[in-house]
Amino acid sequence: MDDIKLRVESLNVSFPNGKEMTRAVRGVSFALGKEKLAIVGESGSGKSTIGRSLLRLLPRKAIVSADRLEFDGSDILKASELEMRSIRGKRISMILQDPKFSLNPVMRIGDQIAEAYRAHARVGRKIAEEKALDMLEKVQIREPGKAYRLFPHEVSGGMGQRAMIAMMMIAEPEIIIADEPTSALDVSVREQVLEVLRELVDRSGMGLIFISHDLNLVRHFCDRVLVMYSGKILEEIEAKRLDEAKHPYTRGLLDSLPSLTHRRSSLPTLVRDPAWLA
Amino acid sequence: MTNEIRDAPAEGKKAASKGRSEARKAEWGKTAASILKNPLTVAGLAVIGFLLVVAAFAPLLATHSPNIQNLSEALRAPSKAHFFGTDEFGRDVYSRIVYGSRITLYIICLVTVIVGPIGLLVGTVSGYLGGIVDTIMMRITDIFISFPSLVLALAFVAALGPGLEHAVLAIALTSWPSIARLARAETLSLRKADYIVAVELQGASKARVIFRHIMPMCMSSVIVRLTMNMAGIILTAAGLGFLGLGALPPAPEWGAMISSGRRYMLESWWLVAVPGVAILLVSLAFNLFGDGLRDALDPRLE
Amino acid sequence: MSKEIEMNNPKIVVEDLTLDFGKGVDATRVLHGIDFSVADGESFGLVGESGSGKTTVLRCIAGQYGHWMGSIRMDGKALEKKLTKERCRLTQMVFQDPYGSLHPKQTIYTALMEPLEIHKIPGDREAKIVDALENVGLDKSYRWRYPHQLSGGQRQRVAIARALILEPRVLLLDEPTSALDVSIQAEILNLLAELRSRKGLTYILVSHDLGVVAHLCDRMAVMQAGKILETLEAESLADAEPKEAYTKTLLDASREYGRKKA
Repeated sequence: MDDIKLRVESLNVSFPNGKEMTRAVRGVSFALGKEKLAIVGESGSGKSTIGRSLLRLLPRKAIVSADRLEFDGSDILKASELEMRSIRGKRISMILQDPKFSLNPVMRIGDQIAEAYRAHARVGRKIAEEKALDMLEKVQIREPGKAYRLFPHEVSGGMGQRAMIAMMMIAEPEIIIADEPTSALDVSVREQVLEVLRELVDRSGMGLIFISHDLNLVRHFCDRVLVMYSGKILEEIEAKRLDEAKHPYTRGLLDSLPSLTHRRSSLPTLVRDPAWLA
Repeated sequence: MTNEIRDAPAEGKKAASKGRSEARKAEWGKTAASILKNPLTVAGLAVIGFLLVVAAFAPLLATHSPNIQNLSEALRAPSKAHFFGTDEFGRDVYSRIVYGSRITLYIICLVTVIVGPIGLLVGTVSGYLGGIVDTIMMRITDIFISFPSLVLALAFVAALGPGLEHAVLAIALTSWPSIARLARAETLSLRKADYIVAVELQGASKARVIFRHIMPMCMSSVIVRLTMNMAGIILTAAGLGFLGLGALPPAPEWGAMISSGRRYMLESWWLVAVPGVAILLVSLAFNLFGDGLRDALDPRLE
Repeated sequence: MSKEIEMNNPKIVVEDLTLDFGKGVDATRVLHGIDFSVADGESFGLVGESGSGKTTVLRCIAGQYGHWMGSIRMDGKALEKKLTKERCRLTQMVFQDPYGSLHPKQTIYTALMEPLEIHKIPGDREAKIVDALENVGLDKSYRWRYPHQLSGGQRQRVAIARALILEPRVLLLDEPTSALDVSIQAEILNLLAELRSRKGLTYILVSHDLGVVAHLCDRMAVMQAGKILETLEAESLADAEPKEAYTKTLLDASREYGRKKA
């Protein structure tokens, strides 16, 4: 794959837990190009931890190590905090799950987007405001002028999430990490938010890491899927070939989903093989 | 941040405790362990323990009687015969401190026993029942809060005469509102919890819900608050003693000792310094312990 | 408004259920004349998104809200608005969040004993508790554990055991699996289906996930903004031609998630 933006080799993240060590991520390796990569797993699989470790947003006591953690040639693992600050938001951005909690409740959403811009580009307030309005339009918010002046509690979930996307994409990053961006949204709104995300990512050629627990969602939205379990990647497969998945865990996950089209009297349950923990 | 370890397999990988008492003991054990992790908390606990020992064994630890006067020995500096010197009546300061610990302990216990249950009851009932009951109880609470304890104590003394019990009552009457408010705040947020709704849907009476389900949840914060309050109580009692409103002479109450020692402070520093340090240490100990207790108890609520 | 299917001896009949929150000028109407019936032994779903009122309907039937208007009848008798002890034995609820539905400071034993004590159930209570746990696939040793020592799936099983211990005929399920991982969800759904057929229970299931509802229910009502838009049969859901545009949106969103691409 040409223009690889991110290379991760043998990433390990552990959290000290009293006397023991919880190994959240174990030997994870992958590369990200101009594509939409999904990291799928259940809770405890380590998927969110990977996202945060790429931006070095883990708590201090976390122990991160890797053979290689390279973004566009520079080593993230060894970068200083100052260097990380110029990467976060500007070159690698992150969209979080619930706009209720990730947007500043006492600032108008337009101002937050403008602030995100000014953090990375030395421009005046007027220009930043215009850029923010422009961004609001790009995320398909009607009447951007009106929306600009709203507070987070005054907007719906879908709108808040699109505002978050606007905020995170305004500096035109090269990589976007989306951590369960639609999980807190209603089903009918998800499509719209995903549409916005898809358009922005495809148009600008950025790389997207889509972290989710919803296998069905990512198979239609992403290009490649990494299936995680207990800190390890069990399978890596093209999204459209998900039906041909080989690993019993992936197959188990797929089979145990209740489906509209395929009703069964009893859902096959996943039998966890302890060998997967090795 | 989404909760990463949500469906991780059960913590209790060791065989589940066989029996209710074992389960409970295990829980207490864990709480104790987390309390003991913090050195400051342990220090606080040690001082409190020390206070208890001193109070219990006062007759054995004191070198002299706390009340017998010996004017020929008045205002002696600390020495081998008198560890902390003597006061203006020749009484041994060390022995007075030792016996005074009993009074301090008495004050703390009495106030806590009055304030804890009343505050908890008023707060939970008020928070759970809401409506007119809540309004009335909160207004009563407001009335009590608006009295500074010293002023109330003065009123009591004027009405009933001075004395330790009256002072304690006055302190208790001004301390319970903060406990009530705390319990009420907790109850208000607990009221909507699914597990409370579940037991209501099972037909539990309001009393049952309050006593068996809501109060246990408020316990930890109330206990912590009481512990932290103790420092304040000691200081207030000392203040009252200083004003001559607390323990009557010749009782060796630490605050009263500071008060009477004031006059001789410049030449006989030990008369003020020693009870002052004692008060300081005990207040600090309770504060530290309360802090550690809160850290140990609160996160486990989640 | 939806049309109920004619049925003999429906277990539950809800007629013109209306509910306002707040008083006077600030009152908002959250339910607008809900009508539906559930047959004995049927599993009925209420589907909708947040704000549709589906959980509110459930809570009215459960007895948590008492200020609704209209009528709710079970076995022909009107349900009282007050939560009397008899009322509690008719329906019980399983809540959405397994992490919030069990008292954090009580052992499972206490949680299961509580309803037995409240209703002064005679007989060997300890045996009933063990039975209840076995019914949901948990070993009896679990009764000495505290909720924080159990996983999400295990807690939900306990919640189901607790709901069933008073032997209600109707179980009200409020998104019972939406907070669980996919693989655990399958186990719980299987458990619920098995319990229903074994004990002949009637279910009213609330969910935003059409897949779950299609799996567990026979019929479902689609709700939006406090009204029932239409009622669908689960069996024909895959090829259903819904009348309402909103239903179509929901179906399309879920169909796309179907395992075999249509």
